[in-house]
Amino acid sequence: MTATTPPLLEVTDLTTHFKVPGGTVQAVDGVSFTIERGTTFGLVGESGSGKSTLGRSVLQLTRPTSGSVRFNGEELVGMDAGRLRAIRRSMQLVFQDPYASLNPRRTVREALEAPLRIHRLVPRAQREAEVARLLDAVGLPARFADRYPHEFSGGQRQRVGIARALATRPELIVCDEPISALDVSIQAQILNLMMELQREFGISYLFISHDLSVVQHIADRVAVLYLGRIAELGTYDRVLESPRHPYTRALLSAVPEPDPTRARESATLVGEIPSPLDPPSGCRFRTRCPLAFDRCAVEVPALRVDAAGDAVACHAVA
Amino acid sequence: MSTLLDMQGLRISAGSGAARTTVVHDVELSVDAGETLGVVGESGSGKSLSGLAVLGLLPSVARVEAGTAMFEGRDLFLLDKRERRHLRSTDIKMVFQDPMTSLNPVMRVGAQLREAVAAQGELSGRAAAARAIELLDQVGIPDPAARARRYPHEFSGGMRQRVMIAMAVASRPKLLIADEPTTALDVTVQAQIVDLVTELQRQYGTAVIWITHDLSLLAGMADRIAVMYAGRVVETAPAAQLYSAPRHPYTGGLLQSIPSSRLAHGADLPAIPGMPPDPRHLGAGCAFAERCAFAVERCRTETPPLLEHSDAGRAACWVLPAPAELLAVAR
Repeated sequence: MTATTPPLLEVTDLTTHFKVPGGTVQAVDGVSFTIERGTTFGLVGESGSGKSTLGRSVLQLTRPTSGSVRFNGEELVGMDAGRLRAIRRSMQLVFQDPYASLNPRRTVREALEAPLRIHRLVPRAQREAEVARLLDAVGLPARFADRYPHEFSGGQRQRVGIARALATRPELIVCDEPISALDVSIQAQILNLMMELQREFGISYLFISHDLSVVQHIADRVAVLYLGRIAELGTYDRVLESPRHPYTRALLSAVPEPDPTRARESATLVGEIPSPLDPPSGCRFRTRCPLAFDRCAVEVPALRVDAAGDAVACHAVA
Repeated sequence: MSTLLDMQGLRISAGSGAARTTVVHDVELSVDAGETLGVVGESGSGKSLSGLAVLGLLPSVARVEAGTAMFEGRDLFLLDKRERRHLRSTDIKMVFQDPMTSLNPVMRVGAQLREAVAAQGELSGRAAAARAIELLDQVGIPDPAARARRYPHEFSGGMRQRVMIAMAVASRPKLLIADEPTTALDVTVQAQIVDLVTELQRQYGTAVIWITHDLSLLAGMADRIAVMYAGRVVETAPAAQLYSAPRHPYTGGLLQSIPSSRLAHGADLPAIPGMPPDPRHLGAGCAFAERCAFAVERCRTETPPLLEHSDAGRAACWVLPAPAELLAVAR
């Protein structure tokens, strides 16, 4: 890769608002970040932070209100439907509940062959072998091809969901809470699978999760989203091991540790995330922030990027 | 501390006709007055059924086949419907993952709380209404007098759970059974709810049985922990001991598979292979044997009993590996 190669994904000032009865939901508001090839970008935040909408806006499954999403240098916002369909091959989505993306009346083979057929990826004669290859890649035996989704456990179903995403040989997979519906003992297996596929195929992940320990383990870079805006952004260790933004700090202090000797402090964050219909003026976090002062109510803090490429949006911390 | 609830030999069956099978086997759970017992397990482990059985709240497909549940000298499994209902409105309360299952959607929150207060027989009318608002305030609901006039759907998930807790503590119960009460909530709100329950527990001396799939969550709050797998308690120990010196391979496996800073960034997690068994189709022997790295021949033929291995810890394992072996990757 040369210095002139654009990053795999470059999101600039992305904004997605929804008109609803009673106002406008400012789900995503001026978000910028980039994802490099073969890396994992973690997106964390509470429910209502806009992280799922952001994921869908990147894929143009939800059309952004404004801003830019460049994939391999090519602008997706406003792209015509035909070209977008072709490019979607390279960007896939894995859901929390694979049931939502698998047709219960179709066998795994049918589910995996559909994208191969639609995108004309593999000649008919080779499809059977390709299905077997995909199942093998996600750790399922080839004989599972003729089963239906309901015959699988949650973990197996998520493996099928991942196999289907892999079918089009994507460069980017957006994963929206891919392990939160799974049993604890299965979560680690699926994470291991995702890391292995990344090493093998060089896939990039936009990994959306509320689980900070998981993101800390697998993400290279992390963005913390609060009410549709990025509060803090940077390498996983900078953001999650030495956080600067008061929201990141509060979020981390709320995470329970499997160790009674490292007792969690009492809850530092009061109240709940305000409605995205009527976000606070200035800094959106100020209504719950222990460091808030006058300026925070009147001026939106800019996301200031330091020399290392880490960024924080806060008037109170340097 | 005196034992408040002592449940022994609990067996629950579920299903209908020939398909009826045992899904909870010989479970014992006991909790002292004012203590917090954490019950941890995955789906199908029997943790929720065991909690529901205490209050006679099992779903219609399930029933208690054997066991005793002594609570202040009475066996809860022998109570009639009326006695049980009385107990549920006074001494033993339960909160669930989804508060909407227990809140009346068409009744104002204040009225529901007033009813719960009045059921104690001490307060009525205006005094009960005042106490209802006081309870909302106590569980951290802002502007409680105005909120009391709202309906449950007008509350956020976290606020609804606070209302449920207010309903539960209205009777100053001796025992609170909390079944995954924070699972649907954000981690910040979860921390608030845990703090709230801990505070109320201190104030009223309530014992808590906290049922969850999240071993990390229990670390900061439970005095003792029971780990359930495939319908059995496989290990029980004081919390500090369970995390630092587990003896059952399943407990060790769970602790190791949690991502943490002990592991190199991006390294493979020490995952437990395979998947939890279907509780309806268990073979002979230890239900964990097929996923267990330590299993020996005997594990596949004979079910290990829950036996004491130290002053306060017990595990159901024929091999009983040393804690250092179970946490080999973690240390």
